[in-house]
Amino acid sequence: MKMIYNLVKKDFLLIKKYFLIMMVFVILAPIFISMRTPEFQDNGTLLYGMLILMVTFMIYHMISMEEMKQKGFIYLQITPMSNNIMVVSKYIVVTLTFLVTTVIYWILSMISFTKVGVIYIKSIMMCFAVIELFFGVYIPLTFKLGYVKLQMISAGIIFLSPFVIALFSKYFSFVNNIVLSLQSLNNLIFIAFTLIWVMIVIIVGTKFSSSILKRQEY
Amino acid sequence: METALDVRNVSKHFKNFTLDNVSLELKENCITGFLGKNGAGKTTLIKIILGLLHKDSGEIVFFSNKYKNVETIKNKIGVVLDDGYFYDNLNLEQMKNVVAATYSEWNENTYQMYLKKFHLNENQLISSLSKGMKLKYALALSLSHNADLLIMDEPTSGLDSEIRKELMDILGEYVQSDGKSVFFSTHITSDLERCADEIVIINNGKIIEQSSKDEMIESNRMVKGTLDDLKKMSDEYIKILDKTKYGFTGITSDFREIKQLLPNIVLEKASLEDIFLAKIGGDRNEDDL
Repeated sequence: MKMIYNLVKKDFLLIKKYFLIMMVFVILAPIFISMRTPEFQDNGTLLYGMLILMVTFMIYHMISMEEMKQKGFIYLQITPMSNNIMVVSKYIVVTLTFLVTTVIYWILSMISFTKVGVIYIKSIMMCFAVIELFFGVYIPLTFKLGYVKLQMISAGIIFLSPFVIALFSKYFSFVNNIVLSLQSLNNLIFIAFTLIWVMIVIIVGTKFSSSILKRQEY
Repeated sequence: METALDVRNVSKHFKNFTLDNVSLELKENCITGFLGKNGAGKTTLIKIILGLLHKDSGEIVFFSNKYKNVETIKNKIGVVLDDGYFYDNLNLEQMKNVVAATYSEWNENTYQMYLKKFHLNENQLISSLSKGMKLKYALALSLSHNADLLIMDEPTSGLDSEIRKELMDILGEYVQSDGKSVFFSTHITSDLERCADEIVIINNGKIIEQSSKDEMIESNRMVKGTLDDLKKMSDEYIKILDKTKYGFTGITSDFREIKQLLPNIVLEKASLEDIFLAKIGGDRNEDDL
């Protein structure tokens, strides 16, 4: 546990110069957008989802960039620390970022003059499941391709996304049905289901990442 | 004397370089100098030993297979890398916290003792450390977890002579303790002349020689003579370092035969630098002195 704690702390220390800007962004962005877009004032799920994705993605990217620049990761490879621990710490960083952003958003939604739309436990858990799935793929890809290549691929995916969305639009109703049937579940069952899903994603992502790291050369 | 590290027939192929069937052995309580010019393959072999590169073939045995798992072996190895490979945005204490948590035998008192000895401030950012201070910090980290084998990649390059001497003294003191060994790569022969017990010479990815430093120096002599003297000698006897129209300087291990053949020829004790240059077939380079 001490190893993971120090790794997570190290990741946040690496980006401490961006911390204040990120906090200001997390607080002001939902207020500004909600005031400008009344549609988000009744239900904050979409805005919350976008904010969560942006913030976790930005934080993770900043950390990856610093890891690439500073090469301290190579030093860690010569210590007795296992690859699993190094990978798990990345999922914890993402999860902590998710939790902090969620708490800030929830507090904002409780203050009426902010106009920030409320979110419900199922929306939070749904976002949690999606975020962990996203990073379940993204973290192994970072270890496999490195920060620079992944940046280029991400840019390509963003560029191609309108075409890809159009291509898969016929499956949207199917996905929507699954989401609706999941939402009809009892809150506790829904939370348990999400947590199990997140655990599976993290375990699989960690296995993949560790096997990639084992083959990596520095 | 036990073996701390046994490298057997290790090979690694790159596009422009091959580490070719490398074998060497490190004895306990010895400082083994790993000597080679830049690009000879020193860092490649050290990275393979540390698991940062994967070998194509061969075998590496640590501590005569005394420890069964990789984590225990890594616990017993202290490492000082040329580049440092630290997180420059962190201060010394923050980086130490990350590193210390990974070692089962981390000794905070020893670490603090070295920080004090090296005049390092824990709150200082790593990015603000000079090369010499980074080396001292790396050394403090590597000596604070009861490592039995210290592996150092070019620790003295770019350092002033005072810090180099300080490092040599620390290494000398370190190997006095039972079961401790040092493997130390460099292209600066004077450092090894001062502290090494064993010398391994590598050139173009191949190990040319491994022997004790004293044996290497004792079994070679510097020969100085005229070009007429040179003509009377077989090429196999001598490796030429310098040749002008007035005479020559070379290194030989057949100095007794030469003395018999040419009784008036000058034979002097050879330096490690001259022996090294003769072995790799290079010229004298004042920068490396």
